[in-house]
Amino acid sequence: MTDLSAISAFLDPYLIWAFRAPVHPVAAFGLGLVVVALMATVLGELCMAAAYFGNKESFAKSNREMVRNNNMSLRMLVRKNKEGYKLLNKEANEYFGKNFFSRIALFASSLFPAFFVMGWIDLRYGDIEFMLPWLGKVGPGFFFVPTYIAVRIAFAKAQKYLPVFKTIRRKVRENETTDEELLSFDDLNKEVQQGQAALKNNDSRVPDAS
Amino acid sequence: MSKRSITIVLAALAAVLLLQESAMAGRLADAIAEATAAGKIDPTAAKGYLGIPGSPDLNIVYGLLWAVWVGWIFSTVGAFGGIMAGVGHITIYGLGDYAKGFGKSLKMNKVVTDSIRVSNQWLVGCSAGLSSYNYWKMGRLVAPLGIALAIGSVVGSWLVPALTAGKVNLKEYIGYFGLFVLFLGCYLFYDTTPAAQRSKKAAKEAAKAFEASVASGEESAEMGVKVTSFTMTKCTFTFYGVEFSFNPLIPVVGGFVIAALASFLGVGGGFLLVPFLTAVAGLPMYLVAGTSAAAVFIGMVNSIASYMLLRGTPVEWSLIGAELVGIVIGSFIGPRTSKYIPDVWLKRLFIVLAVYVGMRYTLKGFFGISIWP
Repeated sequence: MTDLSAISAFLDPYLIWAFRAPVHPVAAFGLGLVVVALMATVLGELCMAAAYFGNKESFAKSNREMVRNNNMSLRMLVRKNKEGYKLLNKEANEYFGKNFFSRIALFASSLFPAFFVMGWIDLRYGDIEFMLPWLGKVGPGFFFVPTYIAVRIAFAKAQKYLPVFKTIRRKVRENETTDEELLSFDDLNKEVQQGQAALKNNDSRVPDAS
Repeated sequence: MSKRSITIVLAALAAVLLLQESAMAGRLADAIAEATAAGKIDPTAAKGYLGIPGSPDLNIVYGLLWAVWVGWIFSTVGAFGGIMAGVGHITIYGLGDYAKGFGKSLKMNKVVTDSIRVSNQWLVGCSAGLSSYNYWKMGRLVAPLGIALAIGSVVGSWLVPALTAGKVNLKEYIGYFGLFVLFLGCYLFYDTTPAAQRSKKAAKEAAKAFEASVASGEESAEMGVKVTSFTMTKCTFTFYGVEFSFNPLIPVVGGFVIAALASFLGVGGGFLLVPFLTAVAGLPMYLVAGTSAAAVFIGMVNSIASYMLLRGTPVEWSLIGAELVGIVIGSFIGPRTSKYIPDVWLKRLFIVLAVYVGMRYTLKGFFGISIWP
């Protein structure tokens, strides 16, 4: 099995049964789409969890360093240290890049089953054309994509009630918790205001030398 | 990872996919009919890539191994994944030679070339929107910069596919791709020079000094971003009382050039945008991050949509699925190897590869010279 059509051929028995419900052909097609979309979603979510927990330290580290460098660079700016700000900002950007691309790979791990299903649908139903008003002829993929998205959204909402997925959600949240949050302008403004208030209090306690 | 951001990415993909379904069949069918009439396709042959009779049936094992390498790059060097994916599509899968076999005059050459470009973009574009939403939620943009960049990006990513889809043949595409990879090699080489490494060291020292004397230094009385003057050629703003300035024309031109380049070559462009934004306006990380992620995402959706809608470019879905699996495996391996291989050596390895691939593609594409395999 070394070519692409072989993947679809291999998947065929696992996916086609869903389309063979003893109901009206159009209803069977719709039901089949929902079932394969659900299979792709569940498998994708499990793979994403495996990828996340397999690299959990790496995710936590790049997140921590990104936050630390960003916050420190902003605090330097508040103290008018432009050079220090620039240096640490560059570091923060580098860690952001790492974080960004590792999250891309993570997202990929949840999406790949959907692409295989799309490939299989092309092989199985590619020759069938549906006529739609305004759009004209469309292929079967036209119906799979919105079905997959609807199923994925519904699954995300149901996750907190599902065993296994409930635990995954909790453990991810625990790992993402860091000592400090990424500073936003509002947080920084509060810090500056607190600093100024503290400074005023100190000034008011200094006795007048005159 | 926010479920909402996943939803947003999926919704954007849906919009593109839904609309492209009806457009793509026509262009491929026309190209197959033309090539069959010219005797270049045997209609009875087994269907391979994109369902074209007699086209190569791509080897999953090679493809998967290459995608593992792409994923490894993603998780260690940080970017360039799109470039490596492109190298795989052209060389590893043998699609380059297959497309060339049709000669310049047949549509099939251009259909396969465009398909390679779009496939590269799917690999990166699928996820560029992920962090856009999160970062957008956290901070505000320096409005003039954000607007300038968005204009450049959208114009660039619509114009290039509209002007070049179906017009650039594979030979030229490979030549330009090679030049771009060479440029990247130089860019990355600078990153490993002592000068660039010095800045890392200086950053570490600055952080240490700062942590040791948190309370020292005069605090700014001004808060946030204030645009103090804005003309066609100079925007000056203070950021917590520290003055920065940039030329607003630079982000427009820069955004356009980066988006155009990314769209033409079928890469993300994020790795160019981040240093560009940092250098141009000295913006803090979380503003740069949000802006660049959003710009890459907007650019990608635009670019993919315009290929698919305006020109009906077909895509091999199972191939992208297999590549995503490889990328996941590679990104799993990456963090484990980076313990033993320092980042700087990884970058050097990439530079060697970039020079090898870049030279090979440039010479082959523009001059037809093959100096090494």
